[in-house]
Amino acid sequence: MLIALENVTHTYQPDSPFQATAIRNVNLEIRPGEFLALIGHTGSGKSTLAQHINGLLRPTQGRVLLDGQDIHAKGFDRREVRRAVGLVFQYPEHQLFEETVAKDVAFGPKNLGLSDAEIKERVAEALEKVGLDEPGMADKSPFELSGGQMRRAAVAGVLAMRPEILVLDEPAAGLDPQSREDMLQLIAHLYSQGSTVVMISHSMDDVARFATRAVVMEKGTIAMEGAPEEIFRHPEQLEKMGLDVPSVCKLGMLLRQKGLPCPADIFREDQAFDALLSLWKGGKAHGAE
Amino acid sequence: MADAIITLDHVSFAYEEDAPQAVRDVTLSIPWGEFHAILGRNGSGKSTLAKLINGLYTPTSGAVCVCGMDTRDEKNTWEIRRRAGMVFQNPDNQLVATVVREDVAFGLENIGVPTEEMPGRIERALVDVGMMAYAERAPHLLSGGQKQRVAIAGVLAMEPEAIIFDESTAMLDPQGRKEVLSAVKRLNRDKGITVIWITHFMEEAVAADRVHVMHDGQIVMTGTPREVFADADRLRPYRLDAPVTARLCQRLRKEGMPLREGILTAEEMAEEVAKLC
Repeated sequence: MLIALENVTHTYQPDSPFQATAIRNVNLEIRPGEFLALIGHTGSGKSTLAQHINGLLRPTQGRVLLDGQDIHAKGFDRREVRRAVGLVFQYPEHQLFEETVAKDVAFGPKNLGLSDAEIKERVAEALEKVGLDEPGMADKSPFELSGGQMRRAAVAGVLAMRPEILVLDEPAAGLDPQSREDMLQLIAHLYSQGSTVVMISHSMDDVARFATRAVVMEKGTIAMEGAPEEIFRHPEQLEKMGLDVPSVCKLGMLLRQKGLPCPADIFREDQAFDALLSLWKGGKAHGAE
Repeated sequence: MADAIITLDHVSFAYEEDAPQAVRDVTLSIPWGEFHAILGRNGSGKSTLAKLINGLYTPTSGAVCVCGMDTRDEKNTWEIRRRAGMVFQNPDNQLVATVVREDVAFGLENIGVPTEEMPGRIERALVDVGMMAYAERAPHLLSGGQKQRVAIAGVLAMEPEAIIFDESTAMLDPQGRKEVLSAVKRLNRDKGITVIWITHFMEEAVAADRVHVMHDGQIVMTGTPREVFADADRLRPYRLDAPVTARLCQRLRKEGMPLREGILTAEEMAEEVAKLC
């Protein structure tokens, strides 16, 4: 399935003193099977954009297309979009509300009107995917869980809808290092199993590690777009937008400034490790000559 | 100890009588004017520790002293909270007024500062965090980093000697985190305010005078950032990780590259690598 945003503009509270245009003339295709990172400064329009992908927000101008069909056209069944595109909000654990983890995860499938057996199967499947399948977990109150577990329970609620596209708004924000890593590994796993992933992130290290494509938003428009290695080749431009570059990118820049032949396409820790090792070995060989 | 502003002497704390201890036998002393970072995963007890220092909780056993005052003595409570202020995680939960200036005034009214003294204090506090230009603005229209700086101004106006920051950057974007941290470093350097910085962002602990690592309610490592981050393997059991540069240096050392210990920033690392290549 293919979702495309066509010239989408969104204005909050139009014709009021609080009128604010959050995104302007955005054209974007979510390609099946990709891991797309949405990056940008706070207020750049990332979350507004994300909420158009599953039809939660309606464009003020422009269209959102699902396999070529305008999802906001008269007669289009938008439930299909909401099911196919799972949206995980920022701090989704704030939305947990049921008595037990299982009931919370079952909430979405129940609304789809599925049979009890089917619901049960989906809940078990979703809890297993997020790693909350140990005995007794399903019957716990979501409020007894740790922060990282609560976040994963909330993600399970979305997975129980069996979405084809997962849209996650800063899924690792506010988690401690280990829970962060668990969450990112979970997303990477879902991606490897065939889910299309759209992830909003402030961490350039995460974008460098996982994304196949990145879109940089600035002031409501798409400022840059391409593979992470292309995006991070322009660190000055990113810094101008108030964004970081991956930590090892900065190291590479500093080394090149010192005249060392460090390649320009280093964004991940393992790449930096290899490059530095061969720099050192090369230097040693050179010195021995 | 006369040279320490905050001391914890064998402090333990449990939320309920039979509950497991959230803080276990912690002894710690923080000298006047220093910047100390407390690192730990969620649930390690670091926030409980913060609330013990500020007198929000009193120890189940052991003693906490702030500016020479014992937190168990109720008549000290208000004076302790004034002299060791606290800034929390969520900026939206800390702002109460509809105008920035009034928000900063809130704490002053509570402690009965004379009206004529208030404008001066408020303005000094807002200048110190770089928010004076926003004095007449509505807090809810500010960015996360700006909101946190207003919250800090609210504490500063009380003229504290120490400020405890309980994951005050956890909900901010990278820009907001930088803004807040650099404002806090300035307060520490220029005004000599003692800072206790609780975080799980390793990079934020790099600038501290000392780092304490908490795990299961105890302090398991303590030292300068260089000492604590020198060995990434030692941090792993506590579900923490060293900054990327420190981790990279360690991996390269294992391959025989003679990088010195204690490299923390990209600048230091580039310097060292250049010497070797």
